[in-house]
Amino acid sequence: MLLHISEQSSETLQEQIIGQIRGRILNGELPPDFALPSIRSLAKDLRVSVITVQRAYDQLLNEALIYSRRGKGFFVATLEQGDKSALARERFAQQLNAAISAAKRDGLGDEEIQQTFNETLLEGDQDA
Amino acid sequence: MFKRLLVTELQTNSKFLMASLAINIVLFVFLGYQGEEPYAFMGGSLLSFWVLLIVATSVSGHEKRGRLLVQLPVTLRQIFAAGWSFVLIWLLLQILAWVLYGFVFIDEFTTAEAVSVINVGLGAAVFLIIVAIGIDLGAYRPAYYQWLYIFFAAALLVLAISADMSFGFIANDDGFRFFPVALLENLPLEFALSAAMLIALLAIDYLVFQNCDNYLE
Amino acid sequence: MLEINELNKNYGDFSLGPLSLSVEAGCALGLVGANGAGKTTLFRSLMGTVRSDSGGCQLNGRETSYREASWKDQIGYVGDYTPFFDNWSGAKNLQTLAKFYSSWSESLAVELANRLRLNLSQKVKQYSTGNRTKLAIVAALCHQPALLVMDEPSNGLDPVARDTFMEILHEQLESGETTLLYATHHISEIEHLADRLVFLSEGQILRDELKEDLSQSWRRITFRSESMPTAIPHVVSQRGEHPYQELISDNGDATVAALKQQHVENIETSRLSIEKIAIEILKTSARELNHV
Repeated sequence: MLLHISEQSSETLQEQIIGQIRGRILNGELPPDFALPSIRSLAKDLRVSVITVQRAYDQLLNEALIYSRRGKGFFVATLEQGDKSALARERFAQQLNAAISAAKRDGLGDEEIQQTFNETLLEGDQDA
Repeated sequence: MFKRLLVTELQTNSKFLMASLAINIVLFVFLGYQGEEPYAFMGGSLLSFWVLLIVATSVSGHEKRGRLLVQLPVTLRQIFAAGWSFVLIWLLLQILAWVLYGFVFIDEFTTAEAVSVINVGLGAAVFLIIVAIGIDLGAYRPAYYQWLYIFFAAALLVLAISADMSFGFIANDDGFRFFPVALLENLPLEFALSAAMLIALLAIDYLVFQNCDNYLE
Repeated sequence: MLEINELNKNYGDFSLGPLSLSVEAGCALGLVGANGAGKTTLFRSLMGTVRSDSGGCQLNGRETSYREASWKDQIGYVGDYTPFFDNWSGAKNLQTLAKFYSSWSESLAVELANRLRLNLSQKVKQYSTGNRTKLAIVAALCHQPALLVMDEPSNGLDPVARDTFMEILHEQLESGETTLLYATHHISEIEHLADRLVFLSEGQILRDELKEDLSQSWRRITFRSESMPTAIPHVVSQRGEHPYQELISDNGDATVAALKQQHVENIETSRLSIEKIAIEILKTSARELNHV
């Protein structure tokens, strides 16, 4: 499995792995019961330590996005469409929170933030 | 594994063994043709042995090779045994050449003279091990162990020379036997004592070598 | 599985241990310490070339005794010093070493040499430091050892070769049967490779941590305050430039909680790289030693 791992990211390697696998599960790219690579082979492919992948899988297990079968490895869990979008929204809210506090630190008011959000969303749609 | 180590020793030193063989053949033929005594052949042959051995151990890096060998699945005892086996086999070949020289070129070469020639070889081996102990002690800290040893070895040498015993590189009638033993004037006893001394000194060198904790320094 | 039990070795002015360490199979352990911290002595005890005064090591249940040798079949060693038969080619050196191992793979030797771009037909005498290191790496891996002992192994390697070397080490670890001990001054080298970091100082283990725990808990914390608040737990180092204060904490959550209790404002936290954490740990140990 090829993930996009960056040295320059503000996220740790573990967070990048969690985030990208989570993303692919939520957007359906990784279907239910899809067999994820073993911890050691993913560690080798991404050239990160075993413990990093192990912790990432632990986190995904905690979030019930994946499940493990003894001796067989890790598989993508079956999620209802509703659960998926709830999870995705929860994640988005977290990220937005960080952006909002940064904007407030820079002196923006609630209205300005909302306006900027709407404009940015519109631009993004046009680009796409 | 001991065999592998010995083969490795032979391979790394094959050039020097060939050189030694060539020198011995030349001396054998040349001195034999001139009808020289065995001791003349021994002198030249032994000198070439010393020189080649010194060059061989310095060029192929005795200590450096030791560091390579200790990483292999072999014990220190095997490394030690293989190193000495190689040197002693080489010396043994020299001694055989000397005895052969006596039998080929000397009309009445007696068994006693042959034993005497062998005793010279044993003396050379003993001398070699005394030097090797000094070198191996170099790995010990503090450094005064080595100096203490060199001091006592030198004192013994001075004693031997002052007692009018020859103890040099060139072997002659009573040269190069181990000093107090040569006074006995009893060849079989001298042989036995030299051999015993050889074994005892090898054991001491083994203890020194094996306890070289700073060996890999 | 490697077990080091109460290993103790005294030299005149240096003593190692008593030191105990247990490393499970498949673990990549980074050993970090200043010069003279005891890394090399520890490795030599492991290799059986230095005899401990007390205690010992076990590799997969077998004592690493100097009287025995067959256990060394299980160890691949690369040191910062790379002795070889200088008058022989790289290939002949490998052929000679191969005879001492039961499970030497000739094809692996060729493959590794190709990947590291090492010319095996050249005499070792003509090798650069980097090429000698490459040969040592090939020699250490071809008998497929269970334990890799690496003492500053990337000596003289160019960036591309170093990258290939790292790739090879990651592959070695994939099976989960190979244990790796890797000592280095350059923490960035093992930042991605190591599962666990052991910090050594003055022959003792200073800290023994899982890498992810380190990056999870260490934080740089800045805040506004007239003076540095007192009795803040887990602070490793601190500096201030009025009215800003900065702390390095080895337990960010606990430190932040304590700061909040003291009504400190504008708290910002950020992560630290493993390299930065390692430097802080070693600096702290150096400071503590100077106090004594």
